[in-house]
Amino acid sequence: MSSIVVTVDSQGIENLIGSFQTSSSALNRNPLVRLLFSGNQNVVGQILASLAQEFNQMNSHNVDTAVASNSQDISPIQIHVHRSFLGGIPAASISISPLGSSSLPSMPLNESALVAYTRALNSQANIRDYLMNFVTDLLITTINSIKLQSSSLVQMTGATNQLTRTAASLAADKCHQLAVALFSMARKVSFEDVQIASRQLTQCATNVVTVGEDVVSDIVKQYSRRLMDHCKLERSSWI
Amino acid sequence: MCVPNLEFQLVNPTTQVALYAVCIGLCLDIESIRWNIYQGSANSSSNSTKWTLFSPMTAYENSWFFGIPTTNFTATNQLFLSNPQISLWRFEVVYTFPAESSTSALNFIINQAPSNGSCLIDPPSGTTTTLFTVSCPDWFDADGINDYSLYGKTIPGRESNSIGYSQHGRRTHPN
Repeated sequence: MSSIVVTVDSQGIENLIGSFQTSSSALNRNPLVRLLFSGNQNVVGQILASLAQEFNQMNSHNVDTAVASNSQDISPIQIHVHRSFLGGIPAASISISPLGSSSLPSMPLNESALVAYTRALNSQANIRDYLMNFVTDLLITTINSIKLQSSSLVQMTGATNQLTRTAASLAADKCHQLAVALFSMARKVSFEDVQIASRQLTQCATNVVTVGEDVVSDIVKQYSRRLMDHCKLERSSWI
Repeated sequence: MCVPNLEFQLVNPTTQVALYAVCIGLCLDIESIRWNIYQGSANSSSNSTKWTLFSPMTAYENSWFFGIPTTNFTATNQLFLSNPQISLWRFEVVYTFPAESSTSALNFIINQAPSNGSCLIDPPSGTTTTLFTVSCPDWFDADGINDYSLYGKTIPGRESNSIGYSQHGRRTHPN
């Protein structure tokens, strides 16, 4: 089969971000959101994976732009992203200083570039929070549903600097449920399927743990470890 | 003594085979354990199978095969994928005691893949909000087809991601 060429529908993304910032009724009318409400595993999994990939790319581009606009006279530099959760509302502030110095900024900063970056960061983080609910609502049925949902979660937690405490905690919970379901059917499905799913769940646990030790469910890590041990056991011939 | 099990079990060539052996009775003086693999050719005239020892076994120890001298034996799917011409396999374990040896075995038949079909994605290009339709008509499998799973990769050579799955029938999905 030849490759399929898919280009990003930037207008569709902009519309989604716009509806999100307008009102909840505007959001409910957005075509992508209406598809997400279908509860259909394939539809929800695909849309979330696609949105996550696009947001991850936008995020990388934003970081690069913020660095570039502030690095003409400064080389090398380091960027500190300070995350705070005041009253549960995520806020990021960014400072730039020469490599090796203390964390207090002492260089002139390109204010507008950083403001733009912070705004984009926060709006994308808020949308991720909202989108995370759709995957957590999906029913866990067969090994295929576990593979699809864990793949979506890996991509949705992939840009860790955009993960709020809420989103990370929702993802950790869901990964935990998927791990429990996988463990219960591990002896009845193929070793290769267990390997794929447990690798993805381990990646999910790794992604959410970077947000903060107090956010991640330790049980997710435990289950991931047990699943990886199960896979190692399978490899050394255990039935 | 060991009781051989001569039933043919169906196995997918895409999955590994993990077997274990249990010694029943007086098993305190086991000298050694060894697993052997045989490939089979059906003798249509006499309705029996001729088994030939699969010789490259030691060459693939710890790449295709694990645990040859232990109670737990694994053959990875590479054994089947690299030998698509062999559809009958026999896995045998031999326990050697001071005065005698005892053996047991399992026979496997490779599950044949579906055939005679094709897959088409329409349209061949679009955006992330285009509805693409995947059609896989005309596939035949003697055991019947239960469901379809779809995988995609964005970067050639990397692992595929699960995109969707369904029961028997046509599947449509956005992007």
